[in-house]
Amino acid sequence: MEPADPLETRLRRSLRVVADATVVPANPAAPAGTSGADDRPPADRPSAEPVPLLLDPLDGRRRRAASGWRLTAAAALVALVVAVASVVTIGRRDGTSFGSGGPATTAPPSATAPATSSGAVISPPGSVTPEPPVANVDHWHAAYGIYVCDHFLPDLVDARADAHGIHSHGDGIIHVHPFDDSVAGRRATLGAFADQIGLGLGDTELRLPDGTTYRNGDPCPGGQPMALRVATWKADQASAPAIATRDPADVRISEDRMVITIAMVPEGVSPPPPPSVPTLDQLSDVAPPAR
Amino acid sequence: MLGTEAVDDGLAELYRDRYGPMVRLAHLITGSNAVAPDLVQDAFVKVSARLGEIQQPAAYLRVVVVNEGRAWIRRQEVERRHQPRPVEPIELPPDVDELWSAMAVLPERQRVALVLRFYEDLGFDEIARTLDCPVGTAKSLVHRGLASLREVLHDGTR
Repeated sequence: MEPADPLETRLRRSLRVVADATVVPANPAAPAGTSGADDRPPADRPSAEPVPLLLDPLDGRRRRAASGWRLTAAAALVALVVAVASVVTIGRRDGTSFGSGGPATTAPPSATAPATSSGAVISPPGSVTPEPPVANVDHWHAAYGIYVCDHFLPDLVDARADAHGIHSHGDGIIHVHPFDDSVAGRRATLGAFADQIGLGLGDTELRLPDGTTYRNGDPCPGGQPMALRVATWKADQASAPAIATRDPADVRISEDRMVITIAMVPEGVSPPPPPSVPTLDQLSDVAPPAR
Repeated sequence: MLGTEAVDDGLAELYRDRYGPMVRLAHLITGSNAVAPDLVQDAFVKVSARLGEIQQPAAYLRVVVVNEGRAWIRRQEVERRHQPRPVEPIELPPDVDELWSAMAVLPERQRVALVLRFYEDLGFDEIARTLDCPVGTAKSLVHRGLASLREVLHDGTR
């Protein structure tokens, strides 16, 4: 039997220690004086101050009648909090902020609230100011291309109707004008765009809509093994690209007029910018700057 | 399809059994004890809507908690990728504290894979199902997560 890796052993122990130190809000359905749903023996439980819950546990005679409205009420309460936060944010962005706040911007208010359809998303503290691209405000474009070994592949078109506001017309341009928060801000990623055009963008492989798959280690014509890279250039800058060698789907489309090459190239080969870059200056659907 | 009463009973039981473990899991995934109960609360709300349809509520709940945690991390990510996420101060032994801080700088998927593997003790196929990825990717995430952890602990920086 193989001896356990010391790091794995340490990791198991550390995670257990941190988990044991977790403060679990009290569950009133549990016997008095215990943490809610705590599966450890009483001696191992942290002596934490109970935190009130949005969704009470369902207990005793009332639980059948109460469960439905409690869940609904919890979702509604969270939605209300998010909506209030959204109003505050819009006020600040309009320069009509409550209190003195930061400098006002001229951006129009977002037409969408940041709540999900269930209203159950709780925005973390400090996340109420939307990051660009902002839903129903920004309209960005990025030039992109898929480069394999030594040549660019034909530009891809959408695999489905664009429901969220990120698409391509087969011209090597990514159009980003989010209709909702699912592709706005930090969710405007290469992964979101890849989904839209039916491109499989894994950590180590690239799968085209027709099923052709390029994997790390596959040989280029010269025999050198290819590896997945994503090269990005800042808008209108001729500087060297930033190269992402892992988590390519998480690469953000973080500004208007970005240039992106998704590449399967041998080690040491710097992917070139895509041929669609000049198209950025010939677009007919460029909205006037809204921000 | 379960009746309303059975669904309510199932939800109550699920809540009693899994609330605490899921808060701890959410804490490990996000690094934030403060946000963990809220994420788990959201997860229960989502699960409750489908409880009559799903075969393995506990496994489904874990998937939802993991997804909620990952979404929260992505929302929290600061301008530069791989910059350490803030770690809430909790009193830990020094060696645990060092490793817990190192976990905070890992890419989100590696961190989650390590938590599922070494805290939840899941096999690679179950990790793959939870993360909705191929088994090979799950193995790779764990392998790379350990390698990243070694690197961070060795460097003492990043």
